[in-house]
Order: sequence, then C-alpha cells, then structure tokens
Amino acid sequence: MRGMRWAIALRDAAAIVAGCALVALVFNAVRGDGIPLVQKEEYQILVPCPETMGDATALAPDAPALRSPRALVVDARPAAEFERWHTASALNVPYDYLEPTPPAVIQRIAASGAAEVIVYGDGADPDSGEQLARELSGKGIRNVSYVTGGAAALQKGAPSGGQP
Amino acid sequence: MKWNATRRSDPAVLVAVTAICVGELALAQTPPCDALTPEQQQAKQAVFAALHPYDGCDATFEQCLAKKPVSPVVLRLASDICRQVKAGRGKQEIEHGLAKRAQSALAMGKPSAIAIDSGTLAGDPQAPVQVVVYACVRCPYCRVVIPILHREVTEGSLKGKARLYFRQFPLKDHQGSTEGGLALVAASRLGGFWPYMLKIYERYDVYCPKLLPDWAAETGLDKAALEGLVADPKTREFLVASKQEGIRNKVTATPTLFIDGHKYLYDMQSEVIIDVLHEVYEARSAAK
Repeated sequence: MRGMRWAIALRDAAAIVAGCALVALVFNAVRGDGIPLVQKEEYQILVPCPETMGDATALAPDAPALRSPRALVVDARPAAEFERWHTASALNVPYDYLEPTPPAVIQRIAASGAAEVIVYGDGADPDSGEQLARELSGKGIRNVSYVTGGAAALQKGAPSGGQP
Repeated sequence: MKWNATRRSDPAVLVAVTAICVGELALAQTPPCDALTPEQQQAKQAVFAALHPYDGCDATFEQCLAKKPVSPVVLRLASDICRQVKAGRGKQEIEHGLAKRAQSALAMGKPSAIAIDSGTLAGDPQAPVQVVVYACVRCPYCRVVIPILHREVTEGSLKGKARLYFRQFPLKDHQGSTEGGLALVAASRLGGFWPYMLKIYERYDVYCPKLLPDWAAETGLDKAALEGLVADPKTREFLVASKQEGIRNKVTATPTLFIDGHKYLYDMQSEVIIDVLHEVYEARSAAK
C-alpha cells in the first residue's frame, strides 16, 4: 500500500515535470526570440584577463591621516631603501611588479586591526606605493590609500629628515 | 485606376526606388547584414537612419549607403553595425561602440611611449601600420588572439599592411607568468621569439615552467643559452621595465593593443581587430 503511494507520487511528479517542459518548449517555439535548442555558433566565453587591482585613494604627504594611531603605514620600497629611511612604525612590504604579495603578508595587514592602510613607495612613474595600495585593495583590504610622491615627498616634509 | 497611376511612373517613386536599389546594392557588399532576421533588419534600419559614420561620409548611414560610390569605411562600419545588431546590441550600445572604434582607428591625441623590441617583430618591417600587443604568456585570451594576429600579419590579409610587436605584461594572478615572460625575453634576445611564443600558446594546457627550456630547444633555440639568459638579472629588469611601461600606458588587462601608439579600446574579437586594422591601413593609404 505504501509502495503504491510512492509510485503514484513519482508518476504525478514526472507528469508535472513533463507538462512543464512541454509548456516551456511550446512557449520558446512561439516567442519571437526563442532560445535555440541547439547552439550553432561557438560561445564567446573568453575575455581579456585583468590584473586584480582595487581602488586606492591618493593622499597628500602632509595628510593628518599619516599621524593617526589607527593607521597602518606600509613602505613598499625594497628592504635596503627601507633600512636607509622610513617613517616611524612603518611595515616594510617590498612591492614586486611580477610576483604577488605573499598571502601571509596580506593576512598580517588584515589582522592588524588598522582602520586605514596608508602605503608609500618610490614615488616614481609608476609609483610602487600606488601599485601596492591597489593590489592590497584588490585582495580585499579596505580603506587603502597611497602617498603621492612616495618616500621622497614624505622625507621632504619630515622636519627631522625622517624617523628611522 | 491604381494601375494607371503606377504606370505613369511618378518621378518621386522612381527616385525612391532607385535610392532603395542603390542602398540595397551597397548592403549587398556587407555580408553580415544579409544574415539578419526580419526583426534584426528592422533594428538595423533604425540604427542606420539615426547614426552617422565617423569617417568617409557626413550623412546618416542610410544616406551614405545610398550614395554612389559608397565609401569603403562606411561599408566596413555598416557591416560592423549589422554584426552588433545580430549580437543583440541596442542603438545606444552600438553608438557607444562606434565611438570606441573611432577612438581606436583614428589616431587622436599623443601616441603612447612604447619601447619597441625588434626581436618580437612579426610581419613586414616596412608595413605601415604598427600594432603592439601587451600580453601575458598565461592569459587564455592572448592564447587565442595573438596566434591569429600573427598569422594575419605574416601570411594573411594584413601581410604587408601591419606589423606586430609583442610587449610583456605578465599578470600576477597567472601562475608561471614570470617564468614564461623571462623565457620569452631570452628567446627574443636569441632571435627566436615567435616560433617559441606560438609553441608556448599551442601547449597552453600542458604548460609547466620546468619544460620551457626543452620547448625552446624544440624550436631550434640553444637551451643552455636560454637558461643562462633567464638567470641573468638584466632579463628580469627588462621584464619589469616592460610591465612598468604597460602600467604607464594604462594597460590593466591582457591582451591590450596599441595601433600606431594609440590604445585600442574597441571589441576584442579577433575578426573585429583585423577589420579595424584594415580600416587604419586604408585610411593611411588614402591619405598618401
């Protein structure tokens, strides 16, 4: 008796599915721009590949945000240049134009709890600071900005010539 | 009565019929327009009546196509519009596309600064139109478009009309792009860039950086010399400089093309790119 009920339920379900499919096929055939049942042309699924970059705000070298205790300042220059001069408490994350920033570093920045991440780089064209800021933003770090003019602009503005 | 009226051959009717015939004759030279359904023909007609070609004629497409002889660029653009109508694009989208095509085909503004690597030249060095493509060795779209462009400029319809140069723009998200980029810079130095490049794209699905020197040897390159160059810090510097140049030139994705130093902003389908290159060549020839 129970098996019979299942069979009836299955039969009804199949009838509903078949009925719906039939209605859909008829509707598709009747409408002017019906979907072709057989795709005759190749789908164009390939699109140009973007570099994963997000938005980053440009910041003046004398912006008060740079002195905020809630900001994490990142130096994008190579380690040797960082050793020569860097702003107080800056974190050195050398920017590489070819290799992605290591996930552990991104994790560390994300876990820092900083309300804002401010990056400065070499100030060249292109500026490594801007590139790193945009890469971090593209990887999900929020409120990322970069210092226009990079380290050189910061050094110029620093009264003591820097804070190593 | 009606019959008699028609037989009197009203001059206005004759002019209208002639205009339609000439227009149809012009459209007969635009195969994409013939393949449209009646609804698409209607949509196309509305676009032709509203939009103006950016070159070759000052009137609407409808009026320009009725003129004799029809400007070759107008025919090209009309075909392109039919292709877009067939793809389901509306008037606004087509108008926007036409503007992008104009920006790509008409050399407007200052050309971008691009350091040409003669080792990556494909095609006739005397060909008047210069095409530079920024590409990544691991970009799936580059793998499709670049071999087609290479074939076109070396043995296809663009032979003698356009010359192609390759600029490296390895994308960070593509694993193995740096190794591939370094190997290609080395291959360019050794004078065997294109056979190697095409082999790498041909074997896209089995790509492995460790195999790159062996693949180089298969294309006739000296494996040891290639490995030596890959390890040379100057090769990496060159690769970085190429990418920095791309960033300066607002390259954000691969492939990105520059025609005579101007960024190509239009449809990236290979047949459309080829069509635009023909247009640029024809405009260049006509200006001479």
